[in-house]
Amino acid sequence: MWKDMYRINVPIIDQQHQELFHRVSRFISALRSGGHNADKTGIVEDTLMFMAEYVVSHFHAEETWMREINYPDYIAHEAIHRSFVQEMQEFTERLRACGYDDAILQPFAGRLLAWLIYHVASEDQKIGAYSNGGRTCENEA
Amino acid sequence: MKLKYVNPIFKATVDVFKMMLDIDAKKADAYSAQDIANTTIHVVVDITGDLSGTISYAFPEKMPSDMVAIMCGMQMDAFDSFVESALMEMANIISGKAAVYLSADKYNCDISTPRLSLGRQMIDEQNSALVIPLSTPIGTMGITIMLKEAIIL
Repeated sequence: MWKDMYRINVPIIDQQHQELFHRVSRFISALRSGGHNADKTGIVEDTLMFMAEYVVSHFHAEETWMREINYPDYIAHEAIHRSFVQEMQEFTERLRACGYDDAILQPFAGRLLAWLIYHVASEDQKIGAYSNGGRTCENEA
Repeated sequence: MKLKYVNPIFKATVDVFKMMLDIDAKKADAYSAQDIANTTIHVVVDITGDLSGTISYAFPEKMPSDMVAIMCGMQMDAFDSFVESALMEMANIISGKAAVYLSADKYNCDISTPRLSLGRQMIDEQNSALVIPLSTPIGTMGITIMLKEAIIL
């Protein structure tokens, strides 16, 4: 799932992104494996717990970096993070309440996949471009 | 239909395909009868504000599965709820980007949540729909734009 084109050339952030992609890929692989729901519950719970902790810690690292470089779109980017964390929490509650029903899990995973790729391949690239000397971002252009 | 609000929608689609799929999408010379016949998956987004109407992204049956397969690096055999959800999110991303590009041209628009429509559809030429055929290595899709400018009283 991870592609080199997703790098923003900030080593700590790239390393965290790769870990996120690895975990989401494992999660999707398990969901698509066609086994019984009970077999998937372990990895689903594991991923949701990981996402709840690691995503917050990764977003914190990314936001610290944005502040360090005086990234001009910091507020908008931070708002995207906040909205994602809230959505993850709501989904997690729904999934736990319904016993990890496939009818909710599959659409959740599809949306998570597209969201993560777009966020890293587009929004985070602007941070990379700015921090690596480009010093422009879309909203300033 | 004015190019100045067609081009941002076309550009948003091409940009998102490149960013998310690493695919070069190009305007096709024509949208053949066969292309239209093959198109059975439609994602429709309502536009309100300085422009009003709809943007519809039309895909041949297998293309969304291939798009999601590229994203997750796994084979997708069918258009199921996982593929559908990823496709809807992608349509949402394209439309959001189109709204950003349109705002640079002073068209401030809101976009709705995308909705899915399955099956063959007729293009409503009487309502001045413009269809942009988009050629990609995984199939030819169509963007149907049906927009009009708000009348300022």
